[in-house]
Amino acid sequence: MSRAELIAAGLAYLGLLFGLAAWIERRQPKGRIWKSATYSLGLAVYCTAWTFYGSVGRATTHGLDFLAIYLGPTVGALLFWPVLRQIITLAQTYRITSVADLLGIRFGRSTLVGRSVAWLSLIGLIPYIALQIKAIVDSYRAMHAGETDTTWLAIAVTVALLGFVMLFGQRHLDSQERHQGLMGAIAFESLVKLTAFIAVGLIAVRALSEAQPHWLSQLPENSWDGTNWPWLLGISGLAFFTLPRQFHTAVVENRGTEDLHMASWLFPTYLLAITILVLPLALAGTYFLGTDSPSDLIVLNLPRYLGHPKLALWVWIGGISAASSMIIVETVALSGMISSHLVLPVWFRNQSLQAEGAAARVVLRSRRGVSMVVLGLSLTYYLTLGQSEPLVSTGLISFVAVAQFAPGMAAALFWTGGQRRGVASGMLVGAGIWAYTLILPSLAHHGWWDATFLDSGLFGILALRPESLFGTGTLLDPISHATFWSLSMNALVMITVSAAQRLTSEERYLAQQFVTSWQDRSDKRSSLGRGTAQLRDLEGILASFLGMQRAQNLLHGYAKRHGLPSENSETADPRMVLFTEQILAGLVGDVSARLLMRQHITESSLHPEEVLDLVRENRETRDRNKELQRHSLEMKRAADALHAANSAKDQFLTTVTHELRTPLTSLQALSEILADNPDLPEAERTTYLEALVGQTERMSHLINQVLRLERFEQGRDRLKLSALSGIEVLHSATERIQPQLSQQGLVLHRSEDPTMTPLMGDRDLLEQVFANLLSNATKFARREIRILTRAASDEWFVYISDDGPGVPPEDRDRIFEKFYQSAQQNTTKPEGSGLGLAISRQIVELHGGRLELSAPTPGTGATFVVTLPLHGTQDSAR
Amino acid sequence: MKPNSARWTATALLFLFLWWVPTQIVGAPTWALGYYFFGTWIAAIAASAYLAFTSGRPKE
Repeated sequence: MSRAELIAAGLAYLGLLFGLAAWIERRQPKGRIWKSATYSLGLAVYCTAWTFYGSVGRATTHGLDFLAIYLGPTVGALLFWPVLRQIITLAQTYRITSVADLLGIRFGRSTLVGRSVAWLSLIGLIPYIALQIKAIVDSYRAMHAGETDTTWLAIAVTVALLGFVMLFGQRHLDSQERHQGLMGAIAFESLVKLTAFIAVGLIAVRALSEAQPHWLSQLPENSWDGTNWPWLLGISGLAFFTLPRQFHTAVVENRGTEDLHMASWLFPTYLLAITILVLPLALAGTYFLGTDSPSDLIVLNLPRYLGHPKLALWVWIGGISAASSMIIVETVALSGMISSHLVLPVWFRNQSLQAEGAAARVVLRSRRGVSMVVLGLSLTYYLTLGQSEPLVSTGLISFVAVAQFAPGMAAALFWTGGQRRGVASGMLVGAGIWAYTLILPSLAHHGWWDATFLDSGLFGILALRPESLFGTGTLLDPISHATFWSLSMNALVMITVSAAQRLTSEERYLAQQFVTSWQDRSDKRSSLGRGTAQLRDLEGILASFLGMQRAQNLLHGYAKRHGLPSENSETADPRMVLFTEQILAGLVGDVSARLLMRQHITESSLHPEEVLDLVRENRETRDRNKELQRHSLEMKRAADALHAANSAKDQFLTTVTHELRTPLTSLQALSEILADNPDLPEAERTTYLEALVGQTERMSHLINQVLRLERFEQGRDRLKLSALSGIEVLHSATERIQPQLSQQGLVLHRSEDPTMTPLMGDRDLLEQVFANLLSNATKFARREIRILTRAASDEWFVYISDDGPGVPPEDRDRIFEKFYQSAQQNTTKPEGSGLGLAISRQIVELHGGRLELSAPTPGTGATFVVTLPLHGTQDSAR
Repeated sequence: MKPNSARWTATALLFLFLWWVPTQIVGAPTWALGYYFFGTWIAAIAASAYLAFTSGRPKE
């Protein structure tokens, strides 16, 4: 492909990226799915040119080892919710925008720790950024074989990406503000590299299948020995949390918990999709291109070899996407971190307050200047050292460097005993071992250093050979070897030094806040607002960054929200001082913010005991709050139960009153007739008197039923258990309703199983149950009632059916409720108290049995089923 | 099991499957290892998605 075509395609793609980012910045899309998908795809900045080109290269030399680099973050994705969410919450509370901020603030707002992280990030990641420049240049060379001097391209790429970083990654003063345009462009690049990689992978599979139909079963013998696997897996999982660009995309650009939900499955799915075709690509590359072809460029050379030049161009663009997205985000993250921890503190220490808005220009210039330095150093590294290193090894060297933050991060989130000197010492020792075991050998292999010490060891001590400390080089490869020694010594030194040091009051306080925020995520920072300052000084500090109007709006708005005096006040409330410091921390970092504030506030001296009291008080308040919450919940439950019981009681009283009023009205009417008509004929008088007795009996029956149910419910009625024959009890009940059957002309069919064994029960009560059910059946039956009994090994079943209208489906669950029948106003109400079924169910359940309705379809009658245990009736406490 | 406990347990299990188990089957054929890794991967994604949509939403 010609140089002009490639340059045109590259420029067109860069133009598209700039246009897309500008369009997103202007439109600010608001959809939830859009935002979460952008976030998840933004995390895929993890997949750099190293993934795009290097993973196939590693698969050709190391087999399946490359998978560990993607499986590590997949394991990490399971911890997005408990760990990443925790970091995000802390970042929002403390205005944290980088790993250096996180560790610096956590360990007593330590400048030492923050600076150590910033320096190590810079040193560790320059080769990694240089690697991306190398990937772009190498891929150009592969596409345009005639060109040997490509320095111009490396410079052009660096300048173009620097422009993008300045335009879209450093347009906001507040580091905590989200970069919608930048993230949209990164998400787009993630899609471009994924689709390009999958496309070339599918072409490779097809070509391989045509050339070798059974290639899957003819895979080369596995040379994977698993020795380095655990270390690669661990280092990759840690890198996801410690790499500055991952911290930036995962924490600073996060918009809420919904983002984490989608990312926890979409991000590992992305990793799976981009790696699943690596092995076929490696096989196809070896098969078609031979072993002499550079393995890192198989992805690009294969489509060209197979006659797909357009696909090759697409893959080239995909490679540029992978490399440029990493360069952009890493530079944004690194420049923010270095500016806040290494540059701005020096500037603000030596400069007095700037004119309105001038400090903002200083901050932005500082970040842009650092970006130039970072990219300039990366370009220099590429031009001097980085041209001959394979992609994967450089990437892994950087992974080991940033993994040195992992022990500190773990201590920051889980261990209150971590101390600033301990963490800084651990990190420095880890970094030293990293440099000794990986960087020095690398320089020596390139001829920049005398290589003899690699074999003889430092000072001639064999145990100190850089690539085989204490002889472990024979067990592990250089990366695993460096990982093991640097991380284990880092953690050991951190724990030992921390244990030997006394924590300052501020360290104790912050440790408590960071570690216990697992349980309580509320913002506690406000309790440390201790300084006093003049309000106009606070306005002046903020105005030098944001302008006077915005500064006043922010401060007066805060005062208004919290009911603090501000309009005519000279002295600012301590909370306003803290608020100002938090705003500044988001603009210039925690260290510079404190420097600026110290110039204008009078800090109250914080006696250690006072801080400890504060911590203690905070803890006690939290405990008291929890206790109060628990009590409140219990009281709410009790109140709900009381309310439900009260409603039930009201309903019960209404129903009972209604049921008693009906016979009472009749009694009153009948009595009045008899009183007013003393000459009433004897026969008529007798009829009225019989009606009177009948209504009295109905009232008496109702009252007895209510009392009985109440006794059952209170547990005051006990069963009188004896061994009895269920059939005989059923017969007795049948005899009791015989007059009703005859009166209504109903036929009773019985089909009884005579084989049943005696059961333990209360004869009177069980007879009452069967009588109730049969009585119910007579009220609804049209022609007949059926009784069927069946004995199983341990249960006795009695089915009582009628051929009446049945129970409507909507009533089936309620007919066992007290008075339910009475509440049914829209149907013809049969005579009865509405308590029979409720009492019957109580009795059966007291016997350890069940009473259920089994009515398959409305209109075919109702069948009640009584199930009683044949052995061991459960009279329990009653 | 509380949502976060479920996540820590799943992570520990996954780590065991991806760390310890492969070191025990180093002699297996390439295709078998490939199936093992990608199968575990898909299981991890499924676990992540399940925890995200169900137990992964503790009260704020």
